[in-house]
Amino acid sequence: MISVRNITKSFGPHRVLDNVSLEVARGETVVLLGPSGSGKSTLLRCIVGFEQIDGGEIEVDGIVVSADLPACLQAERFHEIRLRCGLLFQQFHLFPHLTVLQNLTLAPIHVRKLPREQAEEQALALLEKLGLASKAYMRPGKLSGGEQQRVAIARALAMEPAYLLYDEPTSSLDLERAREIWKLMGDLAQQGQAQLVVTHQYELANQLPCRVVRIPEGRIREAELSLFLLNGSQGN
Amino acid sequence: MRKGHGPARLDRSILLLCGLALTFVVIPFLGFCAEAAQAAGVSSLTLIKRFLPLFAKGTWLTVLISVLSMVLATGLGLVLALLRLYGPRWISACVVGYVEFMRGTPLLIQLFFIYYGLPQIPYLGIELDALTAAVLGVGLNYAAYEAEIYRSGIMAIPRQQLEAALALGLSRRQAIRFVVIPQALRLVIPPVTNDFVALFKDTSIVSILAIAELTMTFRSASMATGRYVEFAILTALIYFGLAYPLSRLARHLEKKVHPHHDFGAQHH
Repeated sequence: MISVRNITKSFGPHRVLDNVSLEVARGETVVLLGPSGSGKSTLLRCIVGFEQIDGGEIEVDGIVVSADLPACLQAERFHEIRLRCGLLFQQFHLFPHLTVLQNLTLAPIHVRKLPREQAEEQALALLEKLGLASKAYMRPGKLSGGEQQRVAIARALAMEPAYLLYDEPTSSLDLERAREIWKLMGDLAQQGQAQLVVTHQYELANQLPCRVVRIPEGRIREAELSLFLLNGSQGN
Repeated sequence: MRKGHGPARLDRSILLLCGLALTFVVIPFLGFCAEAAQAAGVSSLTLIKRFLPLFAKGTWLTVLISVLSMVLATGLGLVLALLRLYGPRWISACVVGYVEFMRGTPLLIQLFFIYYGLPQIPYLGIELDALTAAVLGVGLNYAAYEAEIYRSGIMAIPRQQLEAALALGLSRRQAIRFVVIPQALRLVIPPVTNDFVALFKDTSIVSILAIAELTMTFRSASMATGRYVEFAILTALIYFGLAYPLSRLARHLEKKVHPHHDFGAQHH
């Protein structure tokens, strides 16, 4: 379970997250829907420790990071959290100097310490499943945007994360490619993969069996978010 | 379009170069040879032939010093760049000091200090043979420049690459090693190759340590015979013959690295 409790985050005088709480259970898909600039990307980045929180705490499967924890301890725990959360970006951020296959095997080999053959076997199976088997030995630069995002998802899945966190996963894709990704995300949801999706694309929420949390114009505020959490509509 | 354009421009530049060489070097040289042969009895070609083995040895030493100091410079340069970017603040400050000092003082003085100065330091008294001092001097000096090149290369890699690696569970150290550095290295190959050309020519300065490299060979040969023109031209041609292909290679690598600048994903 991902549990965000009363976190606040400011950039200078600008308070982006104000006492925000959110929960994602195992096996659940949550779509956080709101306009750009509403702080939802920041919320994702806070969960994996890419932004420092000013107050509140974050808990992922029992690993708790609170704002007042010493920096070195925070770094250690966020590393643990990242092992449980796969992160997907709007711009994919594949490693351009590695082939698709190497993109998938890098972390399993060096983090999970799998033998290379096993990591490659597993990666090839994943690519096959996502219809990317023919691209295994190509560089990411040669792939289309949609293919790159699917590779990015495969790369995250190779680490067998408990949660997949998406930051505007299809905003840079045309509708056709976006639909392919939504279908893939829907399949993953059906397989019980927990996902937290941050997006401003309303269509996405309709495509996924998910709980929708809407953020109105402006910053996420405690009252608003809690309200929408309570009323979270069940899309399908 | 680029492919058609490249070779055409290359041809023209080579043609221009040959023309310049013909006008300013070869024709005057032939004239000079004829004249000198009449005056001194020994023709220029005979003279050059006689000294050729010495020049071959000098060339070999120049190449050896260049390669060894470049290995030192690129290796140490990378370490310095990493320490400056990722090390604790005080180490980072030390590296900045090193880089600024090495770039701000003449290589000649550094060489003198290493070869003649170090043995005179009380209790330390490090005595180095001339070749080691030369490699160390040139290498340590160029390491400062290489460190700056590496640093700019590493800083050119988008921060999101590091984040993507961290998000996969890699430690910071692993992310830098497997994701940031390999990409940065590709970016710095052209400027580092360029620097190698500069270093290669700068090795002529180590002749002051009485190493019989190319420049020293030129000096002794011309002093012994009093024939500066033939040997100056010969020496210049050897330097040029080795440096020019290298600088062409650097230009070529630059073209190769930049079109493929597929950091990529984000430009789609």
